[in-house]
Amino acid sequence: MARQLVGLASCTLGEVKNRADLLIYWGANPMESHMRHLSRYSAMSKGMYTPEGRKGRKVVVIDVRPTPTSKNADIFLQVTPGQDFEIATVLRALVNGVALHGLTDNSLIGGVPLAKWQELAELMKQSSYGVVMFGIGLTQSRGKDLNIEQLSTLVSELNKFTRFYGIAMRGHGNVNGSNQVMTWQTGYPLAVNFNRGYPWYNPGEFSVVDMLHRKEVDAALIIATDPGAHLPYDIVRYLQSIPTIAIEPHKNLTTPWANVVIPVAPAGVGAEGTFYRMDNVPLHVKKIIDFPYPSDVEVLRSIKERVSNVKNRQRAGL
Amino acid sequence: MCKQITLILKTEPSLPVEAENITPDNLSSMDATEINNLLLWYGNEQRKLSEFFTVEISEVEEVDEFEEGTPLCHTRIIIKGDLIRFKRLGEGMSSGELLIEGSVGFHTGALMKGGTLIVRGNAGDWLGAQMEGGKIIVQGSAGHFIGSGYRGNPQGMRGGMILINGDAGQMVGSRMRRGVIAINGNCGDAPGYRMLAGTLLIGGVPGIRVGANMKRGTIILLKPGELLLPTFYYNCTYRCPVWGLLYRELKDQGFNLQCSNKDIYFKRYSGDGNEGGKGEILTCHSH
Repeated sequence: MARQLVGLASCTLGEVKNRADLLIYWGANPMESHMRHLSRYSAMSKGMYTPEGRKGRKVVVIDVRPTPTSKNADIFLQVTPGQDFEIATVLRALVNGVALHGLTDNSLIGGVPLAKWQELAELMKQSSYGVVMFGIGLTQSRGKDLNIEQLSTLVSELNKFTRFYGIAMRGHGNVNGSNQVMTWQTGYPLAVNFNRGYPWYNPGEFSVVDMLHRKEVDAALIIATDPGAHLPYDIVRYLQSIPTIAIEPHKNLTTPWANVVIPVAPAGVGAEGTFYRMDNVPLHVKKIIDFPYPSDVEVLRSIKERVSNVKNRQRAGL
Repeated sequence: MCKQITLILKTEPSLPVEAENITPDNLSSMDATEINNLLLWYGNEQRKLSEFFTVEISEVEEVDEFEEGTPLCHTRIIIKGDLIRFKRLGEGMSSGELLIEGSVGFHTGALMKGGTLIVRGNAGDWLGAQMEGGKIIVQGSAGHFIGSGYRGNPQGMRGGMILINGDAGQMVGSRMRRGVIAINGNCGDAPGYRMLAGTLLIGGVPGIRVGANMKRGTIILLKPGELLLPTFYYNCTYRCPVWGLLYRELKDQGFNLQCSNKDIYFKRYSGDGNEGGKGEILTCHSH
């Protein structure tokens, strides 16, 4: 949502590996959430222009608590929860040389003295290839998409001085895929309504949680996700009260109460397909073994065919 | 003579109804049969208006309250019932009057160009979003994104007036370009976010990040809440000459402000420094 308004200067993980000399992890703890990330793509990896690996890079962690990632960082800035927007605002001002009246070096911004943010702003400007990687610590704190909007603007403005990029630390397998496909098919990444036969986009109105919260849904088709584990309790209770179909390769917290469960072959194991990595790079995955179940695509295609036949019959008055 | 169309809700629908067809412009030339057959979106199918409402049409004589003796000639729609499930009522209307005697759902008066829209209860999110003219009065509270722009649109409200007697949600007047929004109660975070111009008055306590990234425009806070962002700078304390005009205009519209017109001083802050610092936030200093 933030990208739509202000854009985001971004790069691939390959560039991070080969070029980045300053890495900032903001609200992210990849040591625990993305285990191979540091060794393959970022802090620890050795690349074409970063032959020294970890020694040749500066690592900064901005988080609300010490984490395994922060223990291995050169600079750790422990901030007050919910102050990310204010921090990004001050960093923008420091980077652009905008005066901050009434603040001294000891003034606390997000629980950290201004002098520390000044040091970070200088570090960012002096780096030759900086990357800020932000996680749900930033996206789920007060302000949500506004935090990302402010950070994206900061990243764009840093490009006046050096090369600087931002990457979202997306979690779960292929969570980026639905956004990518939705974008190239409809022009919008999420919260798209097809009620009228054409796409209509409005997060807050057509996002899953909001629609279920307002009880605007009378049936649900759940594909490769687990609302029973991830959505708030009252929303799960409502989902349980309406007809639900789950297309899912595994047993999870949704399948026991879904009215219909259609087992499918897991993508990348029993079916081929395309995964989108967190830096938006598509990766083709092959089928490794045969499964007795069809793939998600086959199931969805046959459902669509049946629904079309029923609708055509209804239109013909049969 | 004014054409008065009264729509009485039969039962509250279980799914949302998109009712952008219900505007004085659309209904002014229709007879009762045409209005009954008007199509509204119910979920993913279209249904006739008569499935939701009972329609009554009458003609009333009214005189313009500002120009004595001048007879009024416009269409007034009165909708009775709890319209929480009804979205886009009065969307794009350019004349006449729409009176909602109850609460109403999302996008009410969005893209409005003229006329008057009155909500006796509460209003949902995106009230008057991207409106260009006219007047919206909500006697209860309203949701988020009042007078703001839709996602992807760099400009929000471009003209007109929105008056909320109760509280408001987050991001009121986000990216607004022109016009006036006045809220008598409290409001959520980031009012006037990325504001481009126009006037936003908040009578109660605002949330945090007031006027963040605003380029120009005026935000008036009668009860300043938490500290402003560090990219706003104190300029002076003064008697704002515009305040008297705005106060009188709001009083004329029946808006009950919790302060007086006289002996009121404002602290003026300019910002957002990150965006050029040409916007202003006026916080009430004494009254």
